[in-house]
Amino acid sequence: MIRFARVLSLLAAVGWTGPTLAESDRWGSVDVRLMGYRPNIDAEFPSATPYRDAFGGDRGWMFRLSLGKNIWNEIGTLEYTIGTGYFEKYGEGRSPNDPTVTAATAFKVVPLSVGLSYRFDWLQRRFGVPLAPYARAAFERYNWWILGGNEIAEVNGRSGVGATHGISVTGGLAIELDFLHPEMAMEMDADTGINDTYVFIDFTKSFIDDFGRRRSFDLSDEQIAVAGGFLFAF
Amino acid sequence: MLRRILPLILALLPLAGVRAQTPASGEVLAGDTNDLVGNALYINRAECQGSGPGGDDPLTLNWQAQAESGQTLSNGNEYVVKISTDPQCAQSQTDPFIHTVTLIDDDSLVINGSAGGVSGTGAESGVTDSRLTGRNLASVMNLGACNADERIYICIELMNGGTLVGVARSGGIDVDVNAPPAPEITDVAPQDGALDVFWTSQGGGAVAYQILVRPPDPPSVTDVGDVSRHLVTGLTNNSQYQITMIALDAARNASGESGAFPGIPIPITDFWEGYSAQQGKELGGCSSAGAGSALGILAAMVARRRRRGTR
Repeated sequence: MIRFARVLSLLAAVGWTGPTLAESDRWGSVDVRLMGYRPNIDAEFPSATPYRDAFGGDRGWMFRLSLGKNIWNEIGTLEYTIGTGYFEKYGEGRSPNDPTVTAATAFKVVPLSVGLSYRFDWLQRRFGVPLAPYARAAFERYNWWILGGNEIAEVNGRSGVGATHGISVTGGLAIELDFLHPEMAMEMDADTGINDTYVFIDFTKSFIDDFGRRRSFDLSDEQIAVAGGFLFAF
Repeated sequence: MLRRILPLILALLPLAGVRAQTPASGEVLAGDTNDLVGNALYINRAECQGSGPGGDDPLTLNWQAQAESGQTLSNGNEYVVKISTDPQCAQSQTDPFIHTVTLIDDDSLVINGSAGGVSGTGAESGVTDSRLTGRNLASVMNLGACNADERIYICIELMNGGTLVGVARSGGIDVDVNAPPAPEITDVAPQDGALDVFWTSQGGGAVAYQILVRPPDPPSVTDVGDVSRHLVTGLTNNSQYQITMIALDAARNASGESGAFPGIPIPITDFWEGYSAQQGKELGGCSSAGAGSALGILAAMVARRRRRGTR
């Protein structure tokens, strides 16, 4: 704890001591993130592993983009957010007649989300400490589709297309980059309206299983997902 | 909407073949819908022989004659079509391959202006004449045996009382009667309801291929471009098919059929099938009961906050 306090004071000492020009009005934020993802589809089976059989054991990458609108920014910033993203994983389907014969199969997801985010950037704005812990809770809708070869997979008239809903909670730490070059940050604010630029790392626990509905995929991540990216407050 | 679409249409017009192009001053553009490659014009073996579908269709000419020095173009000029091995269609006692075809008196010639009253251009589009078939052109050029390649040219000469007043010339028409050799099928790999066909070209100017699938008989034919692999879909699993191929050159001369290669499509279990086979509980589609409730609550919260904000 003492060490953390020293780091804070050091960052405050080397950091920006407060803008000399008035910053532009704050509207909200946008963030782009890349995170590992592997749906927990196989969890519903006692021993079968259809997802692993098709796509292997590796995690894939999910890209996310979200936009936040300020609704309160007294002690920290509270925003409601909307977001989207993309995930795809390609694997191999195999013939039961001849296992050496394979064809591509793919699982693709476009997540949509609405949520609330709180970013404790008060220290940064009040004292120039470039650290902002944050948290977010979101309602998620994962639109997914499955390809067999190049076409939408189909079994007995049921096409491999659907959507699964759930929630996610995120906690993370954002490091404001403006202290590296305060003058440039102020210029960017004047030119583009971007008040602050952050790099962040966060951790997300998702529960994407149609709220426990019996006839749905479990698209929750198998584990707590680690994400990194950039956030621009404007 | 039209404003948005019009530029796209105009951009695509050059792809629609030579019939839609406007010739430059002094140029003849000949159109032949049977060719495979861009603006180059060919008379292939079938057209040379006047056989096969469309083989005896006449060419369509678009031209814009440039007035000769000191001459003025006018409506009512008679024009002749010359076919020659010489790009200028020059009259020469030593050139045995100058032939003229006098076409109808033209009273719809469009005169596109003049400079100082002594020059100008006259354009004509969509000119067809039953004599302008590939078979006739090859015949008058002593190529009627259809066993030799040659490049010939078409020139339009506008005459006024026996005086040459304007000309337009083509960029050349290739009489191409030699078909490429058939490709060699190297593999036919089974896929789910499909066969993945691989082949190698044997040269000879092949620019496109046809894949023939039997049964049925006559075979179903799939046209593909200058590639070396194609997935033939829509087949029945566990049924044997015979695959053969034909190569086509730019003039659409067709090779003979390649040797047959057998193939049997087989079922392949994709992820959705594998999941369903394990009695997975997801059935596809959107399950919206819980989601609808959550969205409703969220929408109500936002609406309530907005109402407060407007008071």
